[in-house]
Amino acid sequence: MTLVIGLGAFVAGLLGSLTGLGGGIVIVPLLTLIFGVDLRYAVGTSLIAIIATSSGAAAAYVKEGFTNIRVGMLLEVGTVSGALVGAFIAKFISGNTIAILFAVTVLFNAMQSLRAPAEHRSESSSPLAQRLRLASSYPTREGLVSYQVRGVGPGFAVMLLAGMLSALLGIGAGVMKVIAMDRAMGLPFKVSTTTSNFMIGVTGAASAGVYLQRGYIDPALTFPVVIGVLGGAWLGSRVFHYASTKTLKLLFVGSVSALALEMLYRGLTGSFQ
Amino acid sequence: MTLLVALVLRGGVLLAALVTVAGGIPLLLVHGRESPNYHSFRGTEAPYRSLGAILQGVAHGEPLAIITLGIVILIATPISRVLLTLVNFLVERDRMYTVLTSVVLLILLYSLLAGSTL
Repeated sequence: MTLVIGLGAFVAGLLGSLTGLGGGIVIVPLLTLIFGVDLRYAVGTSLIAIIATSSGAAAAYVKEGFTNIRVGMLLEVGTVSGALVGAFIAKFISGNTIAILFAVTVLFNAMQSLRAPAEHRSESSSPLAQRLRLASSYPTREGLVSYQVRGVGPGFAVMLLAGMLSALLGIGAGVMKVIAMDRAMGLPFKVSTTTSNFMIGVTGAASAGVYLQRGYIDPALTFPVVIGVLGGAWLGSRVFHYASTKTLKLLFVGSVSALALEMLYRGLTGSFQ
Repeated sequence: MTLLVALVLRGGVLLAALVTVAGGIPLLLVHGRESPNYHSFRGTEAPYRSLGAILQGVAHGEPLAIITLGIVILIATPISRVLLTLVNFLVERDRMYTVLTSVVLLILLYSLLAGSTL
């Protein structure tokens, strides 16, 4: 069974890396629906897998110079605080509620990810953003392009929520973070995506520490999942240029939505502990 | 600096993976045939939940402890990145962001070292 789980995780890692949408939202349904794993083990294991893939990807992005470290750090205060809150309330929320919450969040994120990103490069900045020195620039073929930042309050608020959901559901919540940075804060799309990736691993680590000590993270289960996901992500980065991202994205969003609907059904009918 | 961060990130993941496999292979060899029960949640029965227990288990060559050590290394990887970022802000004498980054780091360390109190 370990090998089958590893294979499933491999596919999740491969799809996640090819579509850029992350494997977290596949791993939890995969483990709970297909392998009958208790939701807490699934969420804990998924978070570890997310830390692995996001750190690996971040290593590649950090050299490109798109990540806005100050924005990332500021918002991380929000995400890790939210993650701790999420880890705290996870003790009191039933598996069925988490399943329903998972389904709603994933369906919402999936629909959002299909919308074309509005390039909201902000020309205006807010006084708070100026005080926090968030404005920066990013490299293009024509040289450095500068941008301003705004909407710090709303961005931070969304990060608190994203951190909570990440901890409760075992997802990276990258789509949510990108939307907040892209639309509320006016960051250029490539800056949003790389900065979001920077935050995902850190947010995961915040709740993973708590979960490890509560026994949510089972080593025998985590072993095939982490190795499988890393293998799949590595292969994904290799074949990236040969893949048609658009078709894959539709396929991925379709399957993830189907899994989410199944989780919704089972959550509503009370199949989880 | 960016080179160091990339190195730490990639190195952390690689090291964690190697340690995990080092524990996983003996696990497969010994228990490969069994179908473990993940249906029921046994939380506090899990033997390796604190750093002390993990290190003791590794010293005894227990595969599950070794895998858990790999997991801890993985959790420590983004934490190390935050630490590097903190050092960077310190060197730049950026007081505001040194404070912000310290807050993030403290929360992360609390989670890893005292998370069971939450």
